[in-house]
Amino acid sequence: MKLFRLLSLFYIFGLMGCGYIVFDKSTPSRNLDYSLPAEKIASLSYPVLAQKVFAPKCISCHASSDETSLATYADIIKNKDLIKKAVFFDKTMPKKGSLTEEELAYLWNWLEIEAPEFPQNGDLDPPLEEEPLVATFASIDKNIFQVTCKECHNPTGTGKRVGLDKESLMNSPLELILPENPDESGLIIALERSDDKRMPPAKEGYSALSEQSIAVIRKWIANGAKD
Amino acid sequence: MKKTLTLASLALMALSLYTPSALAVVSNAKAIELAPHRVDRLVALNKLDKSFVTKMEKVEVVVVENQVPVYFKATVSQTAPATGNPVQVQISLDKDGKPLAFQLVAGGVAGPDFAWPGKTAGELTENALHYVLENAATGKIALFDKSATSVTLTKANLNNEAVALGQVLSSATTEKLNIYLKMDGSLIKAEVVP
Repeated sequence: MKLFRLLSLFYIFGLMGCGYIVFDKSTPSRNLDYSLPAEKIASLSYPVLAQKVFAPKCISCHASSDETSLATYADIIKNKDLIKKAVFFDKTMPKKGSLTEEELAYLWNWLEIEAPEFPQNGDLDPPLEEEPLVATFASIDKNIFQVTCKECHNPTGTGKRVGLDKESLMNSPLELILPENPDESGLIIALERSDDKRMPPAKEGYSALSEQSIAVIRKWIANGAKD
Repeated sequence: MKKTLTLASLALMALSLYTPSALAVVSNAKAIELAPHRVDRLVALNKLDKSFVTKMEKVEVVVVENQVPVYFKATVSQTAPATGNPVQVQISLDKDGKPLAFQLVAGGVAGPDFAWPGKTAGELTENALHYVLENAATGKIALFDKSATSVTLTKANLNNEAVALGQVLSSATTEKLNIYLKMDGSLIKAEVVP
């Protein structure tokens, strides 16, 4: 009997050592429910994840110039395991803000099915239509400010003194927008400068806005910043 | 009756002459805080020497009268000019704090170059003022928000650590507000001293 108990203990500890029983607290919390309906999982694809997670939550820091770029599908595949570790195990990403439970569920399940580029259900139509960035405030706000800036520039964020709604931009004593004069507009100067006052801030891990994005903002201001 | 009507008419005339738009929208402290921002902008546009940002020492503000649209005049001094004699920059702001004009004026006293290692002197000055603006509704700090006259940036020693000290003066009190910052611009503490 004693021998049986001893062997049982060896067996239990042996299983733990082999990883069959894991008590590591760094695993994703079992309280979080990442489950999705099978048909939803079958519809997951790179375009869906890019639009729902990578573009709004990751690209501002992990742009193409970054070592751990997440700008393309190939980049994502290359860093797939790192993403999983950083988001679900180490919980070190995203550094700014957090993913909603829905976003976590989408990401977890997509990674679990080996991150397919196209949906497994064969539906090749993208679920949501992307709106191109154009030189209007609404478009700039949706595609740039809401994605890259609002994490800090909100009423309680570290950038709370500088509002990025249209009224604040137009009326700020910091002269963020000087209609028809992009060169002297504070917003453009902040985006284009190369010192540590550049926005978005490099010291917090953000990449600079792309030249195309800045060009669109320039065009909006040059047109009088009316729309 | 006639006298009452006359008095009432005079009162109405006085009221009509009174223009609420002449009242400042921003506080003195905000006007002071905006001055380093303006200096930074002028430097970025190559209209002003960079030393005004890196060696900023003091910002003084006065409310001017009868000079609409100018409401505030802020004078920014630096510890050491790039070359030659000390020089200051005077910035005119309207009641909303919007910059209207700037001019270089002779003046100020050249002092030691503090060689700020982290943030620039301009950023440290801004950060010191942020404390005032964020605590403007708190006790004595209100006096330093509404009636601030200057902020002076110096190096100080706090618990054997070199720190930045922004000292704010106010026309509403003889006390001084000392704001201690780390070299990265983060707040250590603030105190009102006699």
